[in-house]
Amino acid sequence: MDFGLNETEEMVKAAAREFLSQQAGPDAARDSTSTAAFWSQVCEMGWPGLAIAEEYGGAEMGLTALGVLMEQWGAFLASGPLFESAVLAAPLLESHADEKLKREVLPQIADGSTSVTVAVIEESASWRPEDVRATAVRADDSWAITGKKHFVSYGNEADMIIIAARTGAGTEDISLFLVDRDAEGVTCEQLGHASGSPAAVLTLNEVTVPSSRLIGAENTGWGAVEQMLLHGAAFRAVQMAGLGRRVLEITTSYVKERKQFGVPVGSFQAIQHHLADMAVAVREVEHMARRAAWSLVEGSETIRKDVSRAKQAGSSLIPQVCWTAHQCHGAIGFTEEHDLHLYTRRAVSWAAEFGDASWHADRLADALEI
Amino acid sequence: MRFKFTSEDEQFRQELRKFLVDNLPQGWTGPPDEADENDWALSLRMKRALAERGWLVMHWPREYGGQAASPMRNILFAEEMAYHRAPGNDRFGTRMIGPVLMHYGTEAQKSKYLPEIASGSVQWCQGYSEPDAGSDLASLKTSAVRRGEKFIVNGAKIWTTLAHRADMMFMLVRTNPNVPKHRGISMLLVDMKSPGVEVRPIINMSGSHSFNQVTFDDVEVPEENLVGDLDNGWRVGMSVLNYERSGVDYVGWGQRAWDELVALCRAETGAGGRRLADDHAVRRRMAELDAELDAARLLTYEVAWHQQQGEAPADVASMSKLAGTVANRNVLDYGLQLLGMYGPLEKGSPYAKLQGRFFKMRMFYTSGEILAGTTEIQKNLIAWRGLQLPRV
Repeated sequence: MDFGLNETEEMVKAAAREFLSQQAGPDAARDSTSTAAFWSQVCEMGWPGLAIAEEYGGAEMGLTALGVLMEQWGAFLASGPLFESAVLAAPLLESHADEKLKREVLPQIADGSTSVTVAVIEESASWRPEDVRATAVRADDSWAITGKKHFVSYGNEADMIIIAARTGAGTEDISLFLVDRDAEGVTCEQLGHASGSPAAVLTLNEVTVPSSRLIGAENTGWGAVEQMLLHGAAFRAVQMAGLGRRVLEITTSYVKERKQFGVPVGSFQAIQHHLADMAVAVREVEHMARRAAWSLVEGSETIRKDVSRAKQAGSSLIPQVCWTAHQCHGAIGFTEEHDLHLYTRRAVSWAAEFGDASWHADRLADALEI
Repeated sequence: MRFKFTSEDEQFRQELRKFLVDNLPQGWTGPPDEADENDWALSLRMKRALAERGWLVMHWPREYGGQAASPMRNILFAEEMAYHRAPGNDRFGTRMIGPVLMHYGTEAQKSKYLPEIASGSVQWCQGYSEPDAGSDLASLKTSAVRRGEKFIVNGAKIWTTLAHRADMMFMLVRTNPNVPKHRGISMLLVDMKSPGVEVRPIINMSGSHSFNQVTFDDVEVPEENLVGDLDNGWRVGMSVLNYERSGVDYVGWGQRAWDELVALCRAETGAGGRRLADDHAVRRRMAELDAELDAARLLTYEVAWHQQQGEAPADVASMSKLAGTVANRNVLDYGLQLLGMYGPLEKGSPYAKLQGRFFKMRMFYTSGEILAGTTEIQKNLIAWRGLQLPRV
């Protein structure tokens, strides 16, 4: 057991904290005009390629280092498709795409010239294979994809989209395609999203995709989706841990400064116990989320359990941490002007993504063979 | 980051499991009842058997008869012992007064007491709480007045676990009433057979005799039994609590209860003849409890990891104790909910399930969130020491 960060991870953490505390944070989160400039700086630092192998143009620092970065990314409310490109798309392509496609796309993700998001779930918001209704039909050397994808984060902004479509009659006869965002037949409906992060519904109307953009073999896409779902859940939990840690810091400072009855409210036991509960919850989710990321790297046999434990805990505890923070802030924390709700909005939104607490509890029950 | 034990540690775990199978009575389910003569005899046998293997004090340095085992190995040991509900893991001697003596004891104290603890031949108890000094422990009143080469002790200790079985007590006494309360306390080692020591049983709400009230009436304690400096006993006494506050025992107990519940869910049918394990709500709740135990377990491992680096962060120890006791309680609560009408049926009843022990355990572990600093005290400590919130 080692709860420490190694040298690389410490370095990534320090760099991320330094940069994000200045360039991201609540003010930046409120100002959408700064997003593009911020994202280009992120790309210059090579963060989208942090965990991509060197031979594909990445820094090959590993998923645990990426996890350390994503903790800070969550803590500072940073915007831009880093999660989509680095956590979801790149590992999926690296594990499943053929060599030619990897050599073409991964270096572009690594240097930030291309961002990639993922479109799997549909109106049902379900992660079950039978709920993938979009279809891809083969015609000679290409495929025609038709369907509608919901909850595509950065769907309007990304350069490419990994799309899951049904290619056979069997439940898991699903294939994955790498589609250009501006391909003919792709239309995008931007959705208002309370988290502040852009989300879209994509409609695909006989979008033609060359066979070279099929990721892996035909009808084998669901395994890749399952793997990506593990990444998504683990790293959302990691972000929630970072966000929870930040909310704890903010609330701790506030209750030390805010005075009532002539003393800091943080000297009252009722408030102290709220803060203690928050501190325990944050530390638990930190450990569970880091272990989930570690298990993904190690290919540990407990991956499914570890990921579901982390996301179940993150989804149930971190929103609670935020609500308790509001209680400790009193009326000021209820205002639009105060930054706290920016964190709460993300925490509550993330709680639902890549499986909510109940969904992961059910998956965990299966993995535990109860 | 590395979230698994070394292969050497895992190998040790297998050895320990085999040892437990070999040394515990066949079909042992525990938990041991210290008031029961058979269970107590088993406890003594286990303690000696552990000592023979060198495991009783394996976390001690070699010079004191230990194996210099890492804190991580030691926590694994404690967790397995708790999981198997195995008696004989002498926490007062091996985990509390032993390490205190290594740090604060005189050479004479070390050479007299440490070998006895290491060989499993002496039982210690802890004299801290008093009738009027619970959470506010530093307000304790039991006095020790120096007379010649002796201290004369008068007063009362309460909730003293195993005092009725103990040979020795390490206790906190007031040696200076004229200074702020934390600065007038000392630690003494007292022979329980000393004239003037009286032990009276207190039966707990689970129906068993684990703790006692101990009164001291002009008890003479030789001055060489002072541990550390005079009036420095608060610091000495608190140094044991980080060991006491590792929640790993609770996680081990909770995990065992969880495993027993899963077995029950697979075997038992509820209303309509359906297996509990096929009930969606049951499966979901059991998984949530697994995650809760797991979170608490990681905190206990973190405590050991810090100890490995020579650190003792009090806030993490408090978190670990808090999370462990709450997780264990939640498992037992849900167990009683699943057992329903069968939960209260006591051992011996032909209809009792799991020998009625869930009800008894739930009663007993009410103490978990009270002893060694209540849940509320742990939260105070997390707020004060971890978050530096102001104390008023």
